[in-house]
Amino acid sequence: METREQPAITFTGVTKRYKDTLALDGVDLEVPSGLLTGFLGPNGAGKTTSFRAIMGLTAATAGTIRVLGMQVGPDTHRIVKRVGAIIEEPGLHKTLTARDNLQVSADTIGAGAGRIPELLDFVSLSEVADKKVGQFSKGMRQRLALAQAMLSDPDLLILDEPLDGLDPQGQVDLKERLRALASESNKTIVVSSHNLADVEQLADHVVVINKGRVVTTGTVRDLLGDDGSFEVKVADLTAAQAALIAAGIDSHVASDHLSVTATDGSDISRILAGAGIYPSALVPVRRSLESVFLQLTGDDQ
Amino acid sequence: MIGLLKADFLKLRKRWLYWVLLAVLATLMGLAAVFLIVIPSVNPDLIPDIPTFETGDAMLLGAQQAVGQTWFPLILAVVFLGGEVTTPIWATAVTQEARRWMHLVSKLVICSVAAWAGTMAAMGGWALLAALFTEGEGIGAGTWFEFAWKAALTQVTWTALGLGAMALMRNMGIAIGTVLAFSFFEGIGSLWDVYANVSLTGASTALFGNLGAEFAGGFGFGGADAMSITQAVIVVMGWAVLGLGLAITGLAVKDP
Repeated sequence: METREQPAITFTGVTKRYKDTLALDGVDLEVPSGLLTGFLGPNGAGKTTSFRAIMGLTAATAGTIRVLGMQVGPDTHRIVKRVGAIIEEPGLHKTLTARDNLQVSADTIGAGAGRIPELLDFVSLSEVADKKVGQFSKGMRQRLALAQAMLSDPDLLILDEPLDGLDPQGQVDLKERLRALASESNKTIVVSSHNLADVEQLADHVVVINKGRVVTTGTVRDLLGDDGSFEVKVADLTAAQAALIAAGIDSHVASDHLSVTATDGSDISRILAGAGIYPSALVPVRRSLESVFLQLTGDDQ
Repeated sequence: MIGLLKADFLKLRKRWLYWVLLAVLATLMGLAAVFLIVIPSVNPDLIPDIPTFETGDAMLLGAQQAVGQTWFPLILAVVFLGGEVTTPIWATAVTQEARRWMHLVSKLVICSVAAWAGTMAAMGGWALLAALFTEGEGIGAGTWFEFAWKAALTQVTWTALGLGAMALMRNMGIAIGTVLAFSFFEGIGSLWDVYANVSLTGASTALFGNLGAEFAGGFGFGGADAMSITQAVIVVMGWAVLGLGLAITGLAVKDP
C-alpha cells in the first residue's frame, strides 16, 4: 500500500513549546500520500498541536513542516486551499442552517455552491439541510463539519478526533464514510484518535505519538505483524503438546487450543504430522494495536 | 476577498445580531425624535425648555443624533468578530483562508456598511418626522450627500475600534464594556482643551456642526468649536488607523 509519491506531510525537527510545556519535542515524521493515516496517542500526546501546526493555527517553536510540498508559514495561505480540516471542535454557526454553513464556507474558500447538495447527500444531511445547526446532534455536526472540510475537494483531509463523543451508530456512520472516501479517492486522510480500536479499523498507516515524540510510524500491517505465535486446534491437546516440546518448540494449553511459539507454522504442521496428529486449525496470532501501543509506550500509559 | 465579503454578508444577514441592534437604534432614535421634534410641535407647553426647530435644523439634529449612537457600530463590530474568535469558528475560518488581515478587512467593510446603512436609515426616519412636524425648508441633496460620507467615515472608525478591542481582549463582555466606557469617557475628554484637538467625539461633532449646543446653553464638545472639517477628517481617520492597528496586533499576538 505504500506509495513512492512525495509525502503529504513532512515534519523536520519540529518543536512546540507552550511556556513550561513541551508539546512537540523535535518531531520528525512523514505522512504518506494517498493513504488514511491514523495519529494515535493518549490525550495530551501532541496530536492536536501537530494538526494546529500543520494548519498554521500555531507556529512551531523550531523546525519546519511541509505540506503537499509547501512550507507552513510562508505558504500557509496556499496550503489551506488544498487542505480540508476539522481541528478540535467543528467550527459551525449554530444559528445558521446546515446549507447556510456550507454556503459561508464555500464563499470563504471561493468555491462554488455546486457541491453543496452532493456533499449534504454524502454525509446524509440532505433532509435536514435547512434546519439550524443548533438543533443538530454531535454526530450530525461532525458529519456537517466533514462536508465543510470537503467543500474545496481537498487533496488532504485532516480530522482531529472526529469520532470523539459520537454515539456508537454515529461512529459507525462516520467510519464508513471515511473508509469510503479513502478507498474511492486518492485523497490523503489524517485522522487522530486516542482510541486504538478506531485507528486499527480505519487506518492504513499509523503514527504513534506520546509525550510530544513520535514513538513509531508504519503501516498497520507492519506494526501489528505476526506475534510469533500460533493457535493450534487438535483433538488431543496433551499429545500434541508433548510432540512439540519433544521437538524443542514451546507451547502451552489454553482452554480449547494450544498456544505455540514458533517462527514458521510449517514446522508445527510437520512435527504434529510426524506424530500422527493432524490440526483442525493452525492460525497465526496477530498482535493488537493496543498491545503494540502499550509495548511502545512502556509504563507511561 | 469577494468570497469573504459574501460570507460575512450572509452571516450578518442571517443572524439576529444586526436586526436586534437595528431595532434598538430605531427605538432610541424614535423616542428622541418624539421628545425633540414631535412633542414641541404638537404641544409646545408639555416640555417648555425644548426649542422649536425649523425643518433643516431638525434634520441636522437628527443626523447628529444618529451619528452619536456610537454603541451601534461598536457593539456590532465586537459581537460580529467576537462570535468567531471566541469559538471554534475562527480556527475553521482561518484554515479556509489563512490571511487574517483579509478576514479583518472583510469584517470591517461589512460591519461599517451595515452600521452606515442603519445610521442613514435612522437619519432618514428622523428626517421624515422632521418634515411632517416642523416648519421651513428641508435640506438639499448636497447636504444629504455630505451627511452620507461623514457618517461613513465615523462608522468605519468606531467599527475599527470595536474590532480592535475584540481582537485584543477575546472576551465579548469585557470588550463591549471597554468600548462603551471608552466612548463615554472619550466624549467627556473632548471637553478638555488639551485633548480636544485629537478627540474622536470632538471631530465627529465638528463634522456635523454643534447644533445641540444651541439648546444646551452653549455646552458643546470642545473640539467642535476649534476643529476645521479637514482637521476633523484627519483626526477621525487617525482613530480608524489606530483601531485597525489594534485589531491586526490583537490577531497577530493572540492568534499566531
